[in-house]
Amino acid sequence: MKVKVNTSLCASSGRCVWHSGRIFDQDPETGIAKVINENPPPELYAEAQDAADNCPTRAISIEQ
Amino acid sequence: MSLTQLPDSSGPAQPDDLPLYPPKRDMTRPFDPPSELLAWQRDQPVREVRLWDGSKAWVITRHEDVQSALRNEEAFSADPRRPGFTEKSAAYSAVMGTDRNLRTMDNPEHGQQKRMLVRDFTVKSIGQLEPVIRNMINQLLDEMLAKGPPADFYGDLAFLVPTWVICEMLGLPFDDRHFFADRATQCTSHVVSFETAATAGKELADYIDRMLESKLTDPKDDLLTRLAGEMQAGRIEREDLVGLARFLLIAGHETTANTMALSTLALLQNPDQLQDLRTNLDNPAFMANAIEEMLRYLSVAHTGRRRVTIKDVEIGGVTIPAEQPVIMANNLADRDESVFPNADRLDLRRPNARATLVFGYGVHQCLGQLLTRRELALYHDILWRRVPDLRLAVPFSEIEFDETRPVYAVEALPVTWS
Repeated sequence: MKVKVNTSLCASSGRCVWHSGRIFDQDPETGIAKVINENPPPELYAEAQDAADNCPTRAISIEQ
Repeated sequence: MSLTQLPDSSGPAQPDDLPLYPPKRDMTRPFDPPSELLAWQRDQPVREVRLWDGSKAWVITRHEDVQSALRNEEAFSADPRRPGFTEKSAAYSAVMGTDRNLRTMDNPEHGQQKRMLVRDFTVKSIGQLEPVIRNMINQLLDEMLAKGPPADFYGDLAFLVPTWVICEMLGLPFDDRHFFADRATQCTSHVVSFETAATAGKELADYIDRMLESKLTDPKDDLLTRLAGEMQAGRIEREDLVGLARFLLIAGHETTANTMALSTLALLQNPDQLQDLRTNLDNPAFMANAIEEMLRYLSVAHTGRRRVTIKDVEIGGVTIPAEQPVIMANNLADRDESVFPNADRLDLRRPNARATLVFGYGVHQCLGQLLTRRELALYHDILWRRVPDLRLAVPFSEIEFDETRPVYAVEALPVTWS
């Protein structure tokens, strides 16, 4: 699985970090999301998908 | 039970065939949106309605359409200065609608202002607040339990928690809470006059301006001081800063406070759900989902998100022309049967509770949403451990609800315990 964030769409909601702090983090000042684990292991797939599904601006893409 | 309701608006002459929005709730089902809205969702999910001032607007009620519209910055603007925008009420015309802040701006200005605020609302920042919020809830419960039953759960707990949190964040004296809660209600209520709202809004603005002045001379480690710094750096005008702080203050307490109180009430009315919650307080995944479901079921921001079309747009098979006021009824979306089967049931294990649009969607999705979730989770975690036999001190039929504000409210919540 490859996880990416389109930062130009990111609205700093922090939802992705909320759903998966092991895959995402936020810039502490701007709140913009960044992927800290681009190729997560299978046990994190569900939370990666949760984060992508719940991003309010659909900024997260998941490639299998 | 009583329900403070919206008056029938009679405004200037308008097409008679358009129904008034929003219609009144059914007093026998206080947790549910009016049945007409559910009928529209089925049969006419994008339709025109008549508003408080006699004007027309479009209402979008299906989950899929609300979500799509709220994400569509190309076609929908949040800026009240744009032609065709209509406010929720006289109060909004007088106060909130006059602000230039992240609520009322489109990108890029919206994003620029949001980024001034967001560091206090990140997952990390909220994590740092957690022990402080826990202490606050525990302290308030200590006081309530010491005084003995009965108690008003709204005034003595639910109202105080988020109010205290926003005071701490902004750097405002908690002692002033009754003053600003009162003025906040007056400048957002759907049943006050323009003049009353304007006066209350000005009193709040003057109050915040005085606080701002004190931060300039005596800076502290709080959001108002930080925003004062942004002002001094030329990144925000003083008037806009005051309006922004006033908005954060208003937005930061009533929504969460009523969700806390109403969720307590909803659980008491659904004992099987309450039992499930009580036995799963140590299960974080369960608790997270339970909170989402409470948020969805109550969806207290019940008068819809407001936008105006800036170009013709097709939604739900209907073309809305440009320069039309549009209401995205996110509370209705949260009761969409095609997304949430048995939507009128509180089901803490509902698998897609997270699809709730209670916080909106798109770039304007609520800034405080993660903080709200955390406050609610801590509140329920502590409450049901410490007062497991909490119950209503009056019959349910005597609970008074208020649907005249942009946040569905309960006036008081008399409770007792052993």
